[in-house]
Amino acid sequence: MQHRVYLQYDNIVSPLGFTTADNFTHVLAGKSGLATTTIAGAQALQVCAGIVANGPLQNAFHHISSNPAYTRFEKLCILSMHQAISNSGVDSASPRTAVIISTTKGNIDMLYPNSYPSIPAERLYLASAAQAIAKYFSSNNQPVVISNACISGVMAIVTGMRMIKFGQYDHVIACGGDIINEFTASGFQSFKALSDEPSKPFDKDRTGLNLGEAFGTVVLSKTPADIEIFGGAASNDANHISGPSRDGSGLKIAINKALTDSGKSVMDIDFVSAHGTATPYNDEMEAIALDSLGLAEKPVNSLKGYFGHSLGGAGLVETIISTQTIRQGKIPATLGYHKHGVSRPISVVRETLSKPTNHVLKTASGFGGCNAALIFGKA
Amino acid sequence: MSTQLTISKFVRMNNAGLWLNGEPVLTQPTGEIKAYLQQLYSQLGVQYPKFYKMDSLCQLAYIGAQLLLKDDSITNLYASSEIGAVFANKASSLDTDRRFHETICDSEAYFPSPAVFVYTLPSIMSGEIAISEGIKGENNFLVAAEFNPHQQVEYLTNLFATKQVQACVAGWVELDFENFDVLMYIVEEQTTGIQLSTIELKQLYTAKF
Repeated sequence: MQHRVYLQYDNIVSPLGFTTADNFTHVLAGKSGLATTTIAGAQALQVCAGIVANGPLQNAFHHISSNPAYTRFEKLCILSMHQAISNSGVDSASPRTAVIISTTKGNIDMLYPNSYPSIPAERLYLASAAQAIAKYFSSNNQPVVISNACISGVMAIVTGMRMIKFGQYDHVIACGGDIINEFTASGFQSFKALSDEPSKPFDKDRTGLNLGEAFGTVVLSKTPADIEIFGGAASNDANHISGPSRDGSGLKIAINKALTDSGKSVMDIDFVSAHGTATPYNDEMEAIALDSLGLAEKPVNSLKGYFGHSLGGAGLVETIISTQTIRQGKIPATLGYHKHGVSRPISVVRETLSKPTNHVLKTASGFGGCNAALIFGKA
Repeated sequence: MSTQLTISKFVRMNNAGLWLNGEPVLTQPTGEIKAYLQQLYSQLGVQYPKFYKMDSLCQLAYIGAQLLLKDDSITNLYASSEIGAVFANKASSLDTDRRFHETICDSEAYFPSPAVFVYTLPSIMSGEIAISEGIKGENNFLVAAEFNPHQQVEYLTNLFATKQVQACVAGWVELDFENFDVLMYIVEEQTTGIQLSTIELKQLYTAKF
């Protein structure tokens, strides 16, 4: 027997706020969480990024827990999960509730000696960090940790959906995000992938991405709710490990599989929440994939101008914002987009668009040539 | 005849040996891992210069995948988009993370390289195998505290239930310092064979061949 899967509750912790509502309000107001900032470390890198301010983070964490023995990454996860779990009323301690953590680097700042003197060195290992987070919420199941580059967040939802659909669990709490520090910033900078200014997805003058901290949590459940997760899938370009295939064929495979999985067709899709990292190659590849599938006339946006690329958090945060779109009938503008800069006539939203939105397609692609697609909407 | 998910082929590699379907193959492990991986590559007799760009973790995964897929039996039988690559380990990409960290932590010797940074993601191994074998289906990477057969079986069972793949290269590919630990296998729906189950995976993992 297969169960239908619903999105019960969600939460976002980012520079735009510590609740989904605050984040969506700021997004609709055109406010970005990106700013020029200096990354602490040997090089004091100056980047345009979305960093959660430490003061508010520690204050907010202190409100929910008197135990300070958690890393920055763990605190951001716990803070993101806390409100979603308590609002949903889901029993996180139940064996029928699974926990998924989606992250590319977890506690990578623990590579620096003495970064956290009171925290066991073992927490550098992703599963150990995930276990600490799961234990905070009294979960005794082994958390599922997904670390699949930039599609991790979408795959967290796809994986969680399957775990409920096929009956292993009744609820899944999925949280994802990445801290932005010297390791990640210098790495992306070595690829010349970073923009010094807020990024411009799909724009003619786009020069690259910004990194951002944004931790999204969804509580998936077999208990009916207003938003349903219809289907999802992943694929690989099988072409190049650090650049997308030029013809978008890998992403098309993922989108087609997601459509089949969901029982929806291209005609059912009202809006596409794209990956839109604002690198020259990604946006062009996505435009080709969407256009060749007949999605060019559907409103499409990228949220990377508000949050930056939140890596392990991207698929979750952007899905959550898009569920607000479904509920409120408002598609946020693609911040940074002014002049059409991809070779296909996709319909990039440049101002908030009021439109009844029932079904959303979310896409993501990442290093290693991976792609993922998710379809969700009104139940 | 009804089919079930089976482990149709498996590779076991660790510091004690290298076995394909339970039989020792190629050279048994000697000394330092980097040299051992180079040795295995030359013994495979394939021409794949990209091997030399890979980090040790991806080289390890590549060797395992070659042993499983070199005869093209899987890639001839199934469409490329119907074959998945789903792996797991404990240390993620820490082997390369540590190396990358060394290139950035000293302001006097700061030389981050994209050729190294790209390998600071464990899922790159799926990409490397996808490219060398032309595999375009499901892609995912899980990180666990230890070899977790239950988690692997749960994931793969759900994956096949979606009917999005007909075969999957899967398994545990772990490298941390000089310890390497691999149980890589192919899953297909077949009428006979080793059933994909927690007990069977555990037995393959702990067996002394």
